[in-house]
This record gives sequence, structure tokens and C-alpha cells, in this order.
Amino acid sequence: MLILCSLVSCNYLDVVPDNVATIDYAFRNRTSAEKYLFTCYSYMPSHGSIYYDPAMSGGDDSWFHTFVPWSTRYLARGQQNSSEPYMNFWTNERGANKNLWQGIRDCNIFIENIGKVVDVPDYEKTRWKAEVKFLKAYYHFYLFRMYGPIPIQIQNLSISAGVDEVKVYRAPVDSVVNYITGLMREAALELPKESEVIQGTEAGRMNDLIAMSIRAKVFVYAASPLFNGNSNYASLVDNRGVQLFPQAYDENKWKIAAEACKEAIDLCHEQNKKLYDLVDVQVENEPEAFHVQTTYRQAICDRWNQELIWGGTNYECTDLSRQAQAKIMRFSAEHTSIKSEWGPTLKMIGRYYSKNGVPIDEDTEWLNNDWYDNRYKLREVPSSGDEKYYIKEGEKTVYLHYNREPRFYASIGFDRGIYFGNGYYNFPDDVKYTAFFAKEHSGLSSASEGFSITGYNVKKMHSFKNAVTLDRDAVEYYPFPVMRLSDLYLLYAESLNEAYGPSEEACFYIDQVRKRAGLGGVVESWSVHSIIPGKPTGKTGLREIIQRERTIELAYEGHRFWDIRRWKLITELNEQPQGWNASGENAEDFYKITNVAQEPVKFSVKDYFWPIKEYDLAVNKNLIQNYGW
Amino acid sequence: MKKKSNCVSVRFLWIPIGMWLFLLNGTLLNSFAAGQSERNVIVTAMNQQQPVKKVRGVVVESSGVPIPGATIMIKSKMKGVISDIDGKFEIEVSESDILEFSYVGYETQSIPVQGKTQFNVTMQEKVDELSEVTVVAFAKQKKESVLSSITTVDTKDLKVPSSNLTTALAGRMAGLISYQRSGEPGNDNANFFIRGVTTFGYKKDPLILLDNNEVSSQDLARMQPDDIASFSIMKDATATSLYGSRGANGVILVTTKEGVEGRAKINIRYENSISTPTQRVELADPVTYMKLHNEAVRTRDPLGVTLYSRNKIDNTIAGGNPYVYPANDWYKILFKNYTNNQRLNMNLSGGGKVARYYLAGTFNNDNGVLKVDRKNNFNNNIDLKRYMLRSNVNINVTKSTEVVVRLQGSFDDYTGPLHGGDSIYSSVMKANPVLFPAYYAPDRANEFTKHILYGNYDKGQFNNPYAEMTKGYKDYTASQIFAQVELKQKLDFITKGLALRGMFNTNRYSFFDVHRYYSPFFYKVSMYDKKKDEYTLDVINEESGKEYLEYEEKAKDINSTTYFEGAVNWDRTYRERHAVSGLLVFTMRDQIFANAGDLQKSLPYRNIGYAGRFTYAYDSRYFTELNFGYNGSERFSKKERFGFFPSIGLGWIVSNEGYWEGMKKIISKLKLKATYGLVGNDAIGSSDDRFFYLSNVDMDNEGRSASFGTYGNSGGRTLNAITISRYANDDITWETAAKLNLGIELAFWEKLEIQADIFREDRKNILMNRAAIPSTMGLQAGVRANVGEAMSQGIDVSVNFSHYFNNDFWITALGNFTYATSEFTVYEEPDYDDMPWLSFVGQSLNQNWGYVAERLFVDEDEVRNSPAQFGNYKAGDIKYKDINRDGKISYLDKVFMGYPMSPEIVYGLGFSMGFKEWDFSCFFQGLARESFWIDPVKTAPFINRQNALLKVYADNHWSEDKRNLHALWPRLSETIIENNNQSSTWFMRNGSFLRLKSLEFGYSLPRKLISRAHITNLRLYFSGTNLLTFSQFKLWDPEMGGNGLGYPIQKVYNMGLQISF
Repeated sequence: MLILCSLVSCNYLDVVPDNVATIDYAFRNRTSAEKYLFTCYSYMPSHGSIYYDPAMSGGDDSWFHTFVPWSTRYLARGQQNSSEPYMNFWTNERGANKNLWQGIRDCNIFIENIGKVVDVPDYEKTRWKAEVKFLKAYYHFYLFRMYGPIPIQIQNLSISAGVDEVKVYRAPVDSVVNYITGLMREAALELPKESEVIQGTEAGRMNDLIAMSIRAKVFVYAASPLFNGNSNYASLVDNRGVQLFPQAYDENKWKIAAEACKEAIDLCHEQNKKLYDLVDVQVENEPEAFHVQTTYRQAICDRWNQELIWGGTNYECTDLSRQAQAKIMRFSAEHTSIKSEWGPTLKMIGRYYSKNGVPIDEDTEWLNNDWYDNRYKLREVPSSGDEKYYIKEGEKTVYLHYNREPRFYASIGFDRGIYFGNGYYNFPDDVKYTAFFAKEHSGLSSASEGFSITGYNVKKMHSFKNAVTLDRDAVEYYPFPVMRLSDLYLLYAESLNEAYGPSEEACFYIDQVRKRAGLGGVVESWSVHSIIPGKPTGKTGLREIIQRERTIELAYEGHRFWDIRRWKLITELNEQPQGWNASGENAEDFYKITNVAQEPVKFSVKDYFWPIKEYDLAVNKNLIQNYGW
Repeated sequence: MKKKSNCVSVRFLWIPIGMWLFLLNGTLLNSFAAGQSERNVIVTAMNQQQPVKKVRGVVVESSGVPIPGATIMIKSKMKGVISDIDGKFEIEVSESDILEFSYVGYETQSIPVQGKTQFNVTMQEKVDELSEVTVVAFAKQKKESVLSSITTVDTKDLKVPSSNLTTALAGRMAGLISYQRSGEPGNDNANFFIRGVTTFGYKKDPLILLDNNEVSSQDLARMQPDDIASFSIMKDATATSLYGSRGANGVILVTTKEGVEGRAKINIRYENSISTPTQRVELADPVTYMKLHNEAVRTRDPLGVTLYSRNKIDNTIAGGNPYVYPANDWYKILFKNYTNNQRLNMNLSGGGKVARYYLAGTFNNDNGVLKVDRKNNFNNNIDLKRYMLRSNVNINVTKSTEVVVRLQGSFDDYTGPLHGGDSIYSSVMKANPVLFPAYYAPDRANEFTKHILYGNYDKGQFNNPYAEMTKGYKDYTASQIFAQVELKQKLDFITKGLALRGMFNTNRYSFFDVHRYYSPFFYKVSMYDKKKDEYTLDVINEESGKEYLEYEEKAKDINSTTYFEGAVNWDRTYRERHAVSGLLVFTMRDQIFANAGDLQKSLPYRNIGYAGRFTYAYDSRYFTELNFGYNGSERFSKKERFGFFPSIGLGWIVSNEGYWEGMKKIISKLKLKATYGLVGNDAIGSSDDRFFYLSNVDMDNEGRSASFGTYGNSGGRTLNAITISRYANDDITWETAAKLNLGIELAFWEKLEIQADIFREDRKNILMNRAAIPSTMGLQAGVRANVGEAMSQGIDVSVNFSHYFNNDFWITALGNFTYATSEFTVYEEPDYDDMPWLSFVGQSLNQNWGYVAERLFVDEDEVRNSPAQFGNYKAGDIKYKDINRDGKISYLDKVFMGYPMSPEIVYGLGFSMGFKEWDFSCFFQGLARESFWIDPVKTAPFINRQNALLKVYADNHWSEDKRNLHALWPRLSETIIENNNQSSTWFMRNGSFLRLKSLEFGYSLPRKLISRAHITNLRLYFSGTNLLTFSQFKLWDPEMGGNGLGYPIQKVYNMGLQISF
């Protein structure tokens, strides 16, 4: 009987049929190869996500009430740590939602194997491969920006690689930058033009504009003070004796950056990219005051417009819109889908220019009329003049909200501010305004979580075409602007100024951006309106102007978080975030400047970079920890 | 009276059958199943001698009921009579004759005449063969020759007033670590491990075999002790190595009862019990809650928004309108104080020479302690009904062939709360007691509203546990069918003692689950007229509320298992001294799951095994045993597929030596034994891991995707990603355990028995992730290898004492003790040479690790000047120790703390005594060397403005006025304070306890009284479980450990009735 049993059982344990999927199947035909291409894309960080993009809610430009438990908020409070780091994209933990090292490995697998696929034509293979090369370079860049020097994964290590082989080293800054920019250029040469990407189904896939623009940005990072001759990081020397941060400041890096920016700008112009300047039909017949505002807003929210270089599609901007959208009616306060929790800080409100295009503390008109000194005092809306387009007639608000540049009115929802759009377009009959006192329609309501702790909201980051009625809301989709032309212009201007000092060309590009915003040129505005008329003619002065221009123009698009670090201005984050008193039920109580952080926020040099998780350092002793952690 | 005639007719039925059988095959028809050597009954009279005298008599069973049809023979004279309907007989004998009394199912008795004229013979039932043999792997062995470490429990001890057998195990058997974490009907299985846990793979619990067929712990839980013939646990290598593939974690072997030759017997046991939580968690009163909630907000943020006005607090104190100023005791609103459960078990057994049968039926009804709203017409309380049917039939086909058919079906019908009882208990902890009442009495506008006016606050985002509980219910049905056929063939014609056995078994399991619920309407008070004491209500969720039920289908679990076992057995004694036996077994098992979830998991799970045993015993003094298992598992690559697991045992019964004779009166038994061997485990990694030699690729992972096109992921082109959840590795192989056992068995005066074992186990080849793989490799799944090693050791002892003072008074006592400790010996981890406290090596397998909490921070100065900790923290938050003195508290400061989270010591002791018709027993059980943690997140008050406040926290927390640095709870807060919910020694508690596990008091009606109704036994009893608990920990039942806020363990008062015919 036992013999019989053994006969029966010969194949008894071979239960696995043929054709069980293995990774080889991914490159057998077009369908699965394309899936693998999308797989490489799927690691794209969620640009613009208020929960997963540290730059959106982890900075000092906005604040959230204490109920929000997102990991990004711990970054904003300066509470990063090294044992369980927040937004840890190195290991995909604590708020991070994409594992970039895995992404890089998948990109390598794709690049190695795409040649095997039979039914994909060569030109398409080339395109796909170029896209993946860019992704691989971009994922390296994303980590580089967070962690500084990182190990470069040019090729995959085998799974059976020896213990010593897998213990990779962090490569020095210059090697990382060279590798990333080189790969991006390589990709750009093979990537299609923007017009060759079929918009209906492919918009958001890589093209040469994206590759060249991001490459320019990487060069700008390499030239910026954080990476260029940063003595704070002199101690970062690994156990081979390799110094990770170059210690000598190299001005030439700015020249390279300027050149790369120019190259990218020229390519953009060649492909008909220009700053967005259209006036939406919905606004055409409305007062002029709304034209500039909506044009600026539409530069972000008009889908796939002429200014947009890279629109992110992996993250849906509807969540972002819901956090940005103010509650514009009493009953809409009951819309739990409209969150309105994203609250700009007073610091950012102060950053916006005056209507004359200069800082409010430099503007002679502001100073002469004591508007600046009285900026936190109340003033009623005058019946004559343009104020009624910006502030609800017959109401009172602080001087700070009067006489500001159009981008202020386009970007910020403030107490008693006119909230154009959202289903109500006929000024003045049915256009709504925001009211932020506690228990008012835009403000804090009893135990509710959906309110802004600062008393402001981010009007800019949702479409004015959203429909918010008494009991319904519909949020317009738009691809998040990861890179747009004005960003590139300002990077170019910055590089030029750093490399060669103030120049007409630098000012030309800044002025382009200002012009669209309804402001005069830099030199002219300062000379006429500022108490420091010569500011744009000095390198430091122009640097300040460019930095401020970036802060305003690109506000709430996830740039300031990185720029502050790149410029080595982290001490700025120690200014305590402030807002109005959200629980104030009347003007007197509401307009009290309030520290919105429960605890004083604290930043120091160590916060320029993420710590590498201690466990990872224990696993790979060839990695060294970033300074201060 | 009707009963009586039935009974008699059944009895008479056997007479003709017995005679007929006898005539058919006179001397040869031995019942080998019963295994007794029976002298045969001769009825015909030959060679009559001159009668000397006539004697009379009556034959009765032990209960006094007369036996009709018993055979009374004169020994060696071939002459006899049969007792009549009253058990009476008359026979003529000579003085030197010996009378022999026999009856199927009873021990034959011989009584010399020697002048007697009246014979009142009480027939003793044949003693169960199990008392002389021990069930070992695939066979039975004579007790004395067993070298393995096997503990068998008396099934009487498993009869506790519970529908869950696993709850009876703790402390009953030496070598078993067991504890129960929840008391929810249907979800109250105890955890049990044989000699602790020695692996860190996913399969830690023992293999459970029911009539040699592998079953789940859930199946074990359903078993009725009444139906169990033997229950034993196998602990060492020789006991388990035959089960090579699955035996490493020990084996629980349960065999069910079979029919015994004899008249039909009926047993009925009925119990009705009242169960109530052993302990309730106490919450702070609502006014304190409000005050402390306000304090929690302000102590963290002086500008914070508080929820309760002075006015609200004052009105609540004053006892204002309870709907406007609610003060809910959610426990009272949701739960009853006690519930009622019923259990009924009936069995019928008997049989003759050809066939024996055992039929059993069980009905258990368990209810939860949840309340039901009268407005709903459905039952949202837990109502679990379990039915079970069993039929074991043994048929002797020929004199050497036996067929056994065993059928068992068990069926669960459940109605209960949507997410189970545990979730209702935990929802109390997530509920604010003062913001709204459970429901409102209708205001004027709602006088005719049909639905319940549930309370809520703000936008309806608050948890109203009453609404959660009463808004719907779930139904589930589980069916389990076992069918087993076994064929036994004696092959004495080839060589004496040779036998062949084959067994085929199939299990079918099916489970489905349906939810039905409505979306409650929530209301809040919009206006309140204090003078008139009238309020008006506002509906909060007019749009989303629904009066009608919605329906949701849930998981369906269907699986099927088939098992085959074939064995050749040989057993013989040569020259009375050399006892030899051999066994070869072949097994194959196949299990498939419907709805497996992915292709690889849908493929059958298979094992095959060859196993063997060879034993040799010399003169009942020296014993040796060799075993092996050679097992294959489909999970491994071809080259690693089979594992070989040998074991050896040696034994010496000192007390059987000639020179021991003198000692025998005192030390009646002394046996020494030692075993050593290997046992395997193929259930490694996780249950999701199927084929280690294959990679597992998801070619269409919906969880990850990329989208492009005009509308991006709001309507563009989206493709799902290809992901890998396992990399192929064809070197992965069996986990093996090397087990050493040294045992001693001692008996004193044949009354006191002691068994003690010392054991050590070294587990090797435990599957682990390679720790050296850094994240920068970008692997989507760990790279694994059989590198882990662990060790466990310990001791288990059991002591039994029994003494019969006389027929009326007896006492038995038992005690057992298990100590099992384990440690990591090889563990893949980063190199911690410079920080040895981080290393797992040398730590217990169930050890928790975390930070050392020193005390609470004194003030802000201390906070500033101490090493940086976690998140935001202030004075009154927990201060941790900086172990590595690097100026910050980080992962590098974690240490292993306390005892393991599963107890290292489990013990039990108890006694039973009987006096005449009365019996009494009590049993204490305890465990020790266990730590558990109060969950600082689940118990954190005020979180989301609604978490409940434990009374002990209200009484004992740090506050600005009362800066108690060792308060139970740190500074209050409305949000989770990351600093305080780190795993640390602060919330560590000692889990040891001793409890009066059971107490029973019984009374059997006197035989005389009941025998007229032909009842052989009628016993009434009262019993209780978990009546008393002794522990340092007072918050909740310590046995629940960290699950203290779940469905509490129950205290049961039970009344039962046992009746046998």
C-alpha cells in the first residue's frame, strides 16, 4: 500500500500550474509593458497634496488648527525627529505615500527590459525609455532636495548581492547634481515636444519642456547657498573620507544655472509657451478690477494652459480646492466637503505688495498716510473708489486689506473680502463675500473642524468656477502646476543676478511676471513708490526683490517651503505663525493678532534637511546622518 | 412507565442477536475493538451432573437497575441460564461450582458457590480501554511503554458552563499555556500554546487533530466535552515528530467517543446559566468629565475653545432636563447587567458484536449583554445558536475487519451587532457623555415621527454608541461538516500482530455574513424654553438619514479539506519479555479555499508525509523508541520540498525491577524517560506566502496607478501598476525544532501520582527578513532566509491524588504547573555591538520594548533642559530615560521591558470530593510572569472631543494645581500627545492573577428513587466560573490584558441537570 501511496504522490505537491505571473510577463507584450511604464509614473510624489506634499502644508505660509493630524504639520512646527522621521520618503513612512527608492528600482527594471518587448515600435520604446529616465532622475532629485547628498542608483543591485555590496554610500552633492542633470538632458533629447503629447489621453506625461525646465531648477539648487559652499555641512565626511558638501563657493554654478534656465525658456518660447494673459469669458463683462485677478487665478486653474509646463496628474486637486475654498454663505457652512482649513498666516499677508507694486513698509503712499502704522486698525469701506470691488461695501476691515496689489485679492480670502465667482458672477448684485468672525459663515462654528485658524483662506488655489450654492458644491479639476513659466522666469532672473549682478535682462523677466499681475516694472516701481528707490540696482536689493516676487507669485504652489531652505533662511521660520483670533465673535475680538501655533515653533540648522531614520543608519553603517540629527 | 417498557425491549433485543452471533461463530468472535479477552458464553447444557442445590439471585448494574438477559454459567460445565426481566435467575449447582456472570458491555464475574444460596450480583461496566492505553501519534500505546511527554486531561474537567471548550483549558494540563482575552460569545476563544512559543513565524499555535483530522481552534472550541473520549496534548519530539510538517508547535489530539457494547444508553445534560461581566470599567461622572475636559483644553492652550459653559455645567449638576443637559452613563444605556444562556447535550450509545454506535446532538444558545431598542423590530443583541450532530458507528465486517464511520456537522446561526460586541464596548470609550442624549423624547414637531430621534452634536460627526448599536444587525451562518471513514484490517494470517488501517476524511466549511442597517437620523436641540421646560429639535442629517434598511453582503469563506491516512501496524511480544512494535504511516492532505484573493492563494495547500515508529521493550523495564517523519510541503522548491525529522526515546521503569519489590508499597511507580528529536514546521513566513520559490506579481494592482489626459485622474487614461509582493527564493526550507525532554513519573501508595518534565527546545531555520538590506535597494518585499533561531525551556509538573475512604466518601485533587520561557538566539538585525540593549538576541520572544519612563516632567524648565523627546510636550508629560546619553530620546533608547506579553507561568489546582449523593469541586487557576500595557491611545480621554474618561484617570492625573509626578495619567489634553503614547514602562502592568476558575456543587438523586423510572443517574448541580479574581490590577479583568476595554470576560452562574438512562 505504501508503494501505491508513493506512486500517487509523485506529483502531488506540484500544485502550481504553468503561466503563473512572474515579472517576466511584464515585458512580453505592449499592454503590460505600458502598465510598467505607468508603474514607474505611479511613484510620482503627490505634488499639491495638502497631506502628502510637505511643501503644501509643512511651511510657515499657512497654518491649520490643531485637529488636523497630518504628518506635514509636525514639520511646520519644527518637530522633525530622527527615530521615526515625519514624511520619510526614504522608507515611505509617517506621512510619505510614495517609496522613491522602489520607484527608482522599477525605473531601472523598465530601462533594462523595455527592449525585450516585441510589439512596441522602436520610436515608442525610445520615448517610453526617455520618460522613465526622466522619472528616475526626478525621483533622485526629490530625495536630494530632502536629504541632501544621496546614494545614486544608476543600476539595480541584484537581490542576491552581498552584504557589503548593498551598503551603498551617499554621493557628494556635485556628483548627485551631475548625475541628475545629465540624465535629464539625456531624456530631454529623446522626449517628445509638448505638442506631440496627445492631450486627451496623455497630458501630464513627460515632454522635453518638462525635462529641460526641471533640469534648470536642479542647477539652480546646486548653485544656491544651501548646496554651494555651505560651511554648516563641512562635517559631513563619510567613513571613506569623502566630503559630501562642496566647501568652496563656486559662482560659476550660477552661470551654469542661468544658462540652463535660458535654454529651457528658449525651448518653451519655441513651443509657444507664454505667460497666461487670457480674460475668461465669464469675467469679460464684469468690472475691470476682476480681470487681472481672474487671469492670474486662471494661470493655475485653467486646465493645460499656455503657461503650464508640467501639470501633475497623479494627485487630484479637488481635495486641495476644498481646503482652499472659503465658505461663502451661511448654509454652506454645513457643507462638510468644503473644508476651508488652509489658513494663510499674517506673515504672508504682509508679504504681498501694495497696489503700487512695492512692499507696504517701503511704499511712500502707505507710510505717508499712516496706512502702514495703522495696518491692524479698522477702516470702513469708502463709498467711492475701487475699494468696493475688493471689500464688501458698508463693512469694516483693517487697513492691511486695503490698497494691495491684485494678486493679494486674487490669492487671499480675508474677512469682508469680495469673493468673486463660485456660481455668483454678477457684481455687485449677487457676488458673495467672506466673513470670518466666529459663528459667521466663513468662520469657526462651535465644534466644527472645517475652519481656518488664521482667519484667511487660499482663494488662489481653487477655480473661481467652482459652484458653491446653498446645499451643493462642485469642485473644478485642474492639473497641479508643478512647473510653470513664471517659475522658470524667476529662476532665470535669480541666476542672472547671482552670477552677474543686476541686469536689464534679469529685470525684464521679473517685469514680465509683474506685468501680468497688473504691476509696473521693478526699476520704475521702486524709483517712484519706494523709500529705497535704488534697491533693484544692487545685487542684494535685487536678490531680495526676486525672493519676494517668487514668494508672492508662486505662493501656495509648494515653492516657498523649498526656497526658504535653498536660500538658507531657515531662521525666518522661527517667526511665530500668526493669524487673527478665530474664536472672536466681533471685530474687536477677532482682530487680535494671535499666535496660532500651540507651542512656539523652533527651527535650527539641522532642519535644512530631513534626518535619515536611525534604523536605516544602523542597517547601513556606510550612510552618515545629516548634520544635527 | 412507557419509558420502562422501551428500555426493556431494547435490552431484550440484544439477547437474540448475541445468541445468533455466538452460534454463527462460536469462540472466534472476539471483539477486538473493545480489546478485552472475554471468555465465551456457552448456553447449551451438556453433561449434566447431579444438582446439589438450587440457588437464586438477581443481576443488577451498578446503579441497581436489574439486568435481564444476563448469562449465568457454571464454569467448565457448559450449563447455564439467563436472567429474567427483573434480573432474577435460578440455577442448580453443586457446592464446588463457580458461577460466571456475563453480559455484553459488562465485565464478566466469577463467584464460587461455597455455600451461598442467594447471589446479588452487581455487574461492573467494562472499563474504558482508554484508561489503560495512551493515545499517541497514529496509534495507541500501553501506558507504561509511552516515553513521550503527553498530558491527557480527564474530560470531566473540561465540562465547564461555557459553550467554548477552549475556555476550560487554562490550568488543566501541564504544558499548556492558555489565556482568554475576550468574553464575547462566538469570539471568546482562549489562546493556547504548548510549552509556550518558540517561533516568530506566523504559526505559533499547536496542531489540533480531531480523530486524526486537522481542525481549527474554532472547531475545537465547538466540541462538547460529553463527546470527547480523550483529550491529550503532545509536547516532545517523540510524540510529535511523526507529524513532521506541523508538529513543531506541539499537538492537541482529541478523539471522540465510540459506542460500547451494551444496552442503549442515553445521556442528557441541560444547563441554564446567567453570565455577567467579571468586572466593569468605571468611567468618570459627567460633571467631572466636563470640568476636566475644559481643563484639558486650557492646560494645553490658554486660548483653546472649550466646549462646556458654566451654565451647562451648573444645569447638569442641578439635574436639568436630561435631554437638554444630558449626563449619559453609556454603559448603562447600552448594556444589561446579565444575560441568560442555555446548553443542551444529548447522546445515545450502545451496540453489539456487529455494530456499535455513538450518536450525539448539541444545542447551545449564547446571548450577549446588549440592550435592544423597542422601536426596532430586529434583535441587535448577540444571539449565537450552535447546533451539532455527531454519529460514530463501528461495524465489524468480518472477525478481522472493522469499518468506522464518523460524521459530524456543526452549525452556527448568529445575529448580533454590526461590528461585533467588542466594537460596542470600545465605542463607549469613544463617546462623549454630555453633548447629547442617546435619543430624544419627541418634541411637538416630531410627535408622529416614526424613527428614533437619535442625539448628536454639531454636524453629526460625533459617535452616538446607542445609534451605532441599534441601527442594524448582522447575521452569519457557519457550517462545518466532517465525514470520515476508517477501515481496519487485522493481518494476523501473515504474521501475528500485523494490522492495516486506512482512513479518509473530508471537511467542508462554509461561512457567510450579511449586514442590515439603516442610517440613523440625528437631532440636536435648537431651542430650549427653560420656563416651560420645552425644547425644539433640529434634524442634523435630513439628507443622509434613512428609515429603511440597507443591505450589505460581507465576506464569504468557503473551504474544503481532504485527508488520507494509511498505516501498517505490527505489535508483538516474544517470549513474554521482548515487546516489539512497528508502525508505518502515509498521510496526504489537501486544502482549498474559495475566494482566496489571488491566484497563488487559490491553489491547493498540500502536504504528504511518511512516518514511522519502532519500539522495543524488554521485560517492561527498559524501553526504546525510534520515530521519524519524512514530510513534503508544496510551499518549497523541489530541492527543499521534503524534510526528515527523526527522534529517539529511552525509558526505564525502575519500579519494575526485582529489587524494587520492597519499595513498591510506598513508591508504587518510578519511571524515568528521555526523548530527543527533530520536528518540522512548514507554516513559516506568513499565511499569505505560498510558494517561496516563485515570485508573486500583481499584474494589475488597483491600489497603485498613474493617470494622464485632459482631466487627469478625474477621467483621463489610467493604468494600474505592476507590483511585486514576493521575490523568488528556492533556498527557503523547513523550520525545525530540536526538542529534548527529560521526564519522571512517580506514584506513591498508588494514590498520589506525580509527573514532571524538563524540556528544552532549539528552533532553527526560522524565516526572517534579511536585516542587511537597506531601503536604498528599493525592494518591494523583504529578502528572506531561514536564519532565525530561538530557544525555549521550562518545566511542567502535574500532581494527582485520589483517595476513596469508602464507597460513600472520596476525594481527588490535582495540580499542575507550567513554566516555559523563550528567547531569541539568532536574530537578523543591524549590528548593535555598540548598543547591546537594542538587540533582540537573548530577549524573550513575546517581549515588548519601549522607553523607560522615569516620571512626569516637573516644570517647563525641566522640559527645556532635558533630552528632546517626541512632538509637543510640557510639564506633566512623561519623561523618558536617555539610555545612550546622546541628548535626545529616540529609537536608540528603547529597551526590552517587563515580562513577556504571553504568560510564562500557568498553573491550576483544585479538588473534588464526594460524599454519598453529594459532590463538590473547586478549581483555582492562575498565571504569572506576564506584562501587558494599558493602551494610552484607546484610553486617552477627550480625543476628538468625545473619548470617555476613565474614573481612575479623573482621580489620578497630573494637573497644574496638583503636580503629582507619579500620577497615573499625565497632563490632560484634548489631542493625542505623541510624547505620552510611546510604548513605555509608564503604562506597563503586571498581568499575573489567581482566580477561582470554577466551583461546582452537585447532588445525585438516590438510586432507589430514580430506578423505578429506569433512570440510572440523575444529578443536579450548580456551578460557577470566574467567581473570584486576585490581582494587583484593578481596572479590568487582568486576564484580558491590553484588551480590557473590549467585551469583558464573563462570570457565570450555572444550573445544570444531568440525566442518564
